[in-house]
Amino acid sequence: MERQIISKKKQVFSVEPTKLSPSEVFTRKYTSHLVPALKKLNMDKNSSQINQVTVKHEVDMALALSAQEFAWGRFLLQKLSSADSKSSSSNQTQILERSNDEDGEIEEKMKELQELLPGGKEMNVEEMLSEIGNYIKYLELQTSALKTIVQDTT
Amino acid sequence: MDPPLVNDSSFSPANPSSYTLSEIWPFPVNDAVRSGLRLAVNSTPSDKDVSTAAAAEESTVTDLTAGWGGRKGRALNSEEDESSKMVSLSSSGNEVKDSGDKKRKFCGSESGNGDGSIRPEGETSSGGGSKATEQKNKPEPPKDYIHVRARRGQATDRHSLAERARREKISEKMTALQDIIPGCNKIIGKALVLDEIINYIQSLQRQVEFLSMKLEVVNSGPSTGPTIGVFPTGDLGTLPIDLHRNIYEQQEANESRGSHPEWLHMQVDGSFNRTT
Repeated sequence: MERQIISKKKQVFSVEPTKLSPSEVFTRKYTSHLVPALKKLNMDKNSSQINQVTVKHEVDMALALSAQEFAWGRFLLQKLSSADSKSSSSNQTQILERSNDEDGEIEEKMKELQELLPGGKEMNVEEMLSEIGNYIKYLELQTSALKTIVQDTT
Repeated sequence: MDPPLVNDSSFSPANPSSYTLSEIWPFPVNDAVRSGLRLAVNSTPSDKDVSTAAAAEESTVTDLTAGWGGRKGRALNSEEDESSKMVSLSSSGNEVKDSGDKKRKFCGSESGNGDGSIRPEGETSSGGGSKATEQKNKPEPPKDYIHVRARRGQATDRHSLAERARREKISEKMTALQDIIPGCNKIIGKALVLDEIINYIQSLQRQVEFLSMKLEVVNSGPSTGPTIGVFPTGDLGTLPIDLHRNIYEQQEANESRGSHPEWLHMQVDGSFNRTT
């Protein structure tokens, strides 16, 4: 540990003020939410069984808590904290009306997108498109954070 | 298909000598319009239709010019539309109903005909078809006048303006999304891009699910149980820090974004200041 400390100190430190990019802000928040939650889950292991839903719940909750500045984050938080044990199925397939019109197909796809995005059904198309952009980015961040957590603890 | 917009009988000037552009057209216009007007004006005005509508004719032209001059400012035009008189209403009504992508003939006074009421219906139907992608090119009958076509860059109808603005916003966002999603740059067409986006989101969500399953396994495994639980609450700060370091390093390796190299050092510096 000390060797690590020494080697880190040898690194070049910039004099700029700490500029945190949003991705690392998110990652920090995310891990700070998720890890204690997992720990707590683990501690409670003796009393209750950890099932998949709980872990997923924590995972989603951490995402929602770290993304409060976005509409989808707030919606996700609402959905999670409403204590519904809904299984979050992201691959819902609905039978949508097929129209052969070119615009109709695009409309369909927009609807599908709305299903994917938490809270997408209540947004209009423009809002949804901009929300989807950062939802994707934060999903990516979440994925890499999870990967690292899993790696670190195996 | 349409009756020729300018014919000999359509020009009945009140004052043949007053044909200077500045007099007739007090508003600043672009060259196309000016040339169109001038050319039409310089043709031989015939006296066939010297009627009481002569005075109305000039006012027609003036109102037309107002309508056309104000075309640059779209709001002006729509207001002009409402406030113009009946005769010029038909002519400027023609303008308004035509949506932006259509090519128009610029000529002196379109509906110089006495009635001038024929046109609006024809134009309205074609204006209503503005949503359709085909452009209606008006036939160019060889006449004494040289017809100048000016393509309108802007739609003039309030509705189509709003729609156009909305459509542009949507396509802006689509291109922004294309930049985010890997491999989407080469795809052309909204539908395919949307397909890609949907697939990508679904695969990301599946990945998260898979990882959380894995996490659950790891969490509940006997080998890792004590590892997580061992940290006393006071020292909980160290675990996230190490995780952060790993995560950031991984992220850097994965994404290879060279734009913020300093944050890593700053973050580490901060953390170690805390512990030392």
